[in-house]
Amino acid sequence: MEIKFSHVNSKDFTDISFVIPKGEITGIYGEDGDKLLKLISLKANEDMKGIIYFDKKRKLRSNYYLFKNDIVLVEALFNNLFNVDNVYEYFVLYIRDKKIEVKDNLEKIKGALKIVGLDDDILDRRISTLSFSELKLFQFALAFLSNPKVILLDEPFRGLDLSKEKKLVRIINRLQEKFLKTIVIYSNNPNYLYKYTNYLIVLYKNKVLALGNTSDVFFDNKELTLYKIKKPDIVEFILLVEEKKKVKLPRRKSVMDLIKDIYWNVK
Amino acid sequence: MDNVVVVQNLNIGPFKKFNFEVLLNSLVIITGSNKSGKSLLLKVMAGIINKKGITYNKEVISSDKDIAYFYNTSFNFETVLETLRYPLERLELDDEAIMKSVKDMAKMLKITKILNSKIEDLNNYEKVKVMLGSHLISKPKLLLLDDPCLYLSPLEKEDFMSIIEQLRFMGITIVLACSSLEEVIYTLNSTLYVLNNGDIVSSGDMLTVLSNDSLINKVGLELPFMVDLSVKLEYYNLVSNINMNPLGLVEHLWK
Repeated sequence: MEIKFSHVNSKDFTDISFVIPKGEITGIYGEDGDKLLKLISLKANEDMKGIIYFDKKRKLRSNYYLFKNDIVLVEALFNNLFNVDNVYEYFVLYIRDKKIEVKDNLEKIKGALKIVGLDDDILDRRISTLSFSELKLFQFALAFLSNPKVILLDEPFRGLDLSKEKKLVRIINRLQEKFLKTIVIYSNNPNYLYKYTNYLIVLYKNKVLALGNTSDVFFDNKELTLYKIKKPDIVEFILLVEEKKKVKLPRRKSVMDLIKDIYWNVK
Repeated sequence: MDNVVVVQNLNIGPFKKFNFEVLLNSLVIITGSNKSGKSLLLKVMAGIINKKGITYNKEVISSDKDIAYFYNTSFNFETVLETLRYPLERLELDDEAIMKSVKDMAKMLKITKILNSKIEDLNNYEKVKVMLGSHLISKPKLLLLDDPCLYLSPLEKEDFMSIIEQLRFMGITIVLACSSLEEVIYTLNSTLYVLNNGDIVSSGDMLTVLSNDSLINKVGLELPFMVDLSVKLEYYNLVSNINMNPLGLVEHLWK
């Protein structure tokens, strides 16, 4: 699903316009990016003015119900909405609350658990005993129940170790490639966005400062440099080599590749 | 050197016959993968669980008030001022003394401008600093921090760790658990412990521990960029030590 914001104003943003391309992994970077995710998820739009299109269909007050299950927000921290502690019970209440049409609750829940790679045993556990990474995957499984077209992720990788981060990236890539989901990731760490997103929207002082291909924005956008916005470490290093030594290294994402380039260059 | 807290023969969760001690006025950083036991160890040191397995140095820690345990940013009050005042109001100090302490704390944490703000209007970093202030204001001797930098940006992490460094000069012993190594590089003379399933698999000076990249990766942690780059360049015999300064490294490589 493509999302288009046209001259949108709200409490936190002034005249923002952008398009989130369909079936891509889009990154949001900069101050209040988490608030933008909430706006896109239609969760915090009481004071919002402007035009929003979902797949070229204009979102109106009267047709909110058409989109509400198409967009799901996985928040940075789990927020227990129903005040229950049993995992299975929470799944069931979530299905009921979101009015998701399900023939067999258990089958549907097991399907969602399978996508995120969690064992069925988790259904008997208490939410308060789940580890940080289990809780994150549980949030993901909940998000898949409504089979959304757009998945918004608020700081999805924070607190996860390398193996859990890679597991989550595999899930995100599969959702995008195989199921053509539109994924939007907000992070205030540019290293994650550079590694895992193809398209980037940079916010600065309530406005959209830059947008485009993630790599192009980080390497070429002069305004990021002008406003001293932190770039990914590897990008900063490659640009530093270019500036100081007039050596143009390839635009790499992994340190291993960069090392090889440096080796051939300085040897 | 004296200890502040000693953990002896700990048998809980992933820990089996686990021993650990924190030296007075040190900055101890505990890291490890998910479920390695770092948060649990902090809870034990805070005296929340398994109280029998720990011994505090009575000369430093005479009561619970000398220990501050920072583990989340959930607030009980609406404004920053109320949050910072409350711990001192409990001690029944007079208003003038309370306001002086609050202002000094706000100045140190660079939050003077938001003193009258509502908590809900703060960004993540401001919330972390206010929560830290509410713990520091009653002058603890031992500060335990469970992943305070989790949602901070790289620049905020650098700033936060410089505040933590300042606290050491105030005689506070600090134990900080972190799930990412990004913030670790901003510390000086810290002792780093790497936990894996309840075992200490590496410990010592920060750069020495981080230079063992295969072990760090094996336990599921990612090296900070400059450390990773330096360590890998060492394999290619292009550098001989870890260089944290990008410009210095560039000058060295293309000399």
